[in-house]
Amino acid sequence: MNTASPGNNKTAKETQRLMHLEHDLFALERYINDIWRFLPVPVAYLNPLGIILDVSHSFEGLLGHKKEELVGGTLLGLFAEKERIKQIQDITLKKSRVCDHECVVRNKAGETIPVNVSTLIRKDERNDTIGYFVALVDISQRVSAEQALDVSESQYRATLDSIGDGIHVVDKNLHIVMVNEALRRRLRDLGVDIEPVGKSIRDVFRLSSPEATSDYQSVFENGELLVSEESVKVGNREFICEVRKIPIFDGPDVRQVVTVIHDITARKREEQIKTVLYKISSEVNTVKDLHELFELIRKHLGAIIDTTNFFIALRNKADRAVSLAYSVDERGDSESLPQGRTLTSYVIENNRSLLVTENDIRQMKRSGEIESIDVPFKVWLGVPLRAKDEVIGALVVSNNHDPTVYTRKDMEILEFVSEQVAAAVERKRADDEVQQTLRRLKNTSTSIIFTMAKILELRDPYTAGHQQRVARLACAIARELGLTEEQVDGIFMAALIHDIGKIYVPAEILNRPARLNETEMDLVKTHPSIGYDIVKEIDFAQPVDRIVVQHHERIDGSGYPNGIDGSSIILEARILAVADVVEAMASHRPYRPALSIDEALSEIEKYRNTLYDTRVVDACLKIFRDNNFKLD
Amino acid sequence: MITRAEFQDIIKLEGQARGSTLNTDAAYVESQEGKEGLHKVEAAFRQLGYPVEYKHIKDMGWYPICLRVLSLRVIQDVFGLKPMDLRTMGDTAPKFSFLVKVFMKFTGVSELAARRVPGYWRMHYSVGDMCASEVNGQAGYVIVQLTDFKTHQILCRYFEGYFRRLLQFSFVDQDVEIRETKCMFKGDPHHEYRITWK
Repeated sequence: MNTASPGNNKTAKETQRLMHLEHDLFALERYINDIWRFLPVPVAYLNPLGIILDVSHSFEGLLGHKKEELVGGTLLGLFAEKERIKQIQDITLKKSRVCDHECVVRNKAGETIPVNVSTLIRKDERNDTIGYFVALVDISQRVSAEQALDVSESQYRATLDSIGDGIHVVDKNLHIVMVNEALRRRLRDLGVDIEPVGKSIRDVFRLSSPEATSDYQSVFENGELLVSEESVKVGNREFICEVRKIPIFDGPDVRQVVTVIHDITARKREEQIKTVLYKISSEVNTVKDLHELFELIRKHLGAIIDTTNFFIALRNKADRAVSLAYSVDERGDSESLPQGRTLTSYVIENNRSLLVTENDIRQMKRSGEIESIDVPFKVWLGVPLRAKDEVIGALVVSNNHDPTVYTRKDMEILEFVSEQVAAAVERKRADDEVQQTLRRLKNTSTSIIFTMAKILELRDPYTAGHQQRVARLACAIARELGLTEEQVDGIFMAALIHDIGKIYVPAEILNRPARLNETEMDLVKTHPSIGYDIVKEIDFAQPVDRIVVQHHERIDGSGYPNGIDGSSIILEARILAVADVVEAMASHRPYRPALSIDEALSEIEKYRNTLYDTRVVDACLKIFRDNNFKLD
Repeated sequence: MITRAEFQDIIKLEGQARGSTLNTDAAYVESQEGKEGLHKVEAAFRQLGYPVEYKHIKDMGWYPICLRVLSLRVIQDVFGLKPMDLRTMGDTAPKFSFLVKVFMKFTGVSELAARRVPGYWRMHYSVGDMCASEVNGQAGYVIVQLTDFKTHQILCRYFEGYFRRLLQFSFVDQDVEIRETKCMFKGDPHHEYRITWK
């Protein structure tokens, strides 16, 4: 039987509904409590006045306070920076929420803990504020890491700044993100006033060529270190630098490139100077004359020093007058050197180098050290040319436009070069003197030879002119055979006196217009040996004595005085033999009339390779027949 | 010690109280004496033949009001609490109260806040009524009356702390004082508390 009335049913249903509601409420309560218990982020729930109503377990853990110590207190009391948290409260009330504001809280032990504060306002159904949540995220690890990073960055920065090389870091857009102190200082010294960080490297270093930036693209793409020698332009200056481009990776990609710029301009210049000085030192002995030497020095020096205006002045030993030995002047005014007390004479007279600017020159004029002459120079550099203890001149460079173009280093270079120049000048002067002496000696020797020939011709009129004609012919044959001029000279002198030995043969034998008997002939045949005895003591450069003694020897050994064969007869003697025979046959003799030149040539042609040397005969025939040589 | 007669009187009390009021007791004991302290309280309940395990009590659940009184009495006995300690316990309770956290609105002391007092009372107890009979924000006092609530004197001291703390939640850095000016156990028609602040 169903005893339930409608009223009872309604009550039962209401009871059941309330029980379900209560069940749901319990579940919600557990859910909320669990959230508070396990919430990993320290969270506090505050009433609108900032009084703590609840905290999560993690909040207790963060601050070291128990919940009952925290609840009822103000959140403000926990913060080390009161103003900061008030500010956050204000923002929260205005904006309903605040995210990640950094603050510092103080735990129970009094230690400060950096936290990120986030807040969220809680409102009721009528939009009235009933409280707010405050979440504190402990960022002490991050702050420590940041502090460590700051320290690390400071150390890194200090390290970079302590390095003398310029260092900068560029991003993928080739914008500079960092420069070290050395580079910053260098840029400042060079008058680059712009702040390099944030600028493109193209603007700071005037990189106009595509190659300069393609290197960076390559490092970004390939991730490989690149070392190169580059010409870096900053302001108006250009430097030679060893540039290292080092990739900085972010995972697999190159994020930035560190560039280390090591200025090697000075080193390069030193190398260039050494090269130039080496070239000058090695070539100075190979040049033929001083002008060529001065040209060479100017050319090589031009690689390291401005030689637009360059001259070398030398002092004459005799009258001590100073004159230009070499000069190049941009104004074309290089004909003569001003006389009087000039800068050049100052260097020479005082035996000291001089590097002076326009103002210095004016001062020197005022003090009377030099005379008042036009001063077109902005800078003038002269060094004395010292040979042993004597100053023989000066080497000078000057510039009419830039007073900074020369330095003390340039002076040292010129001083080094001046030693080379002075040595070369002295050597050349000595050579000239030797050559002059030699020429004088040669002239003297030639005069003696001519005198000896004249003496012989006075005793033997038939040989008058013979020796000169033989000499001409012998020289012509020698040249045809390609002998040197020195050899030709030797043949010439030997030919002029080849019959000097006849001076010991009685004149009546020499001049007798009949054939000589055997005894007389034997006497005549002694003249080559006597001639040898006469000239052997004279120190000729060429074997004149041997030419004289062998000029009657024959290839087949049938000649005199020694009857030696062709292999023992020197070439010059074989030439003289042919010339002597041809000239003798073509000339009148007391004992026979003169033959024609053709007959004479036929005679030597007939005995070619028996009495006379084949090559010499052929040369002789050629000069007569082809070259139309005439004896007279 | 709770006598058998007292126990019998208490369990005869009619009405219900939210579990939240009991859990604040447990939270207080645990905060002061640790879990061991709470175990001692639960052991004392078992000795009374009225076993209670606080962990099963739900904040939003309704429980016999006798349990509310017994909880305080047992804790008082186990730890030898004096009236002042009970006041402190009441003072601490709002800090652990789920209801306070979830439902209390702290809008300062005003007429509007005063109107919320009855509702707030009924949120915790099914018997008795509470109202703010006089509110004077400028003078710095409020008078709260609790009627039809003659359960046990132990609650008089407890409420002194509890109401003080609730009002303290509405002030920052201000001293709040409370005094029970009328008590039903002293023959007054209702309980009355005068709460003042500077």
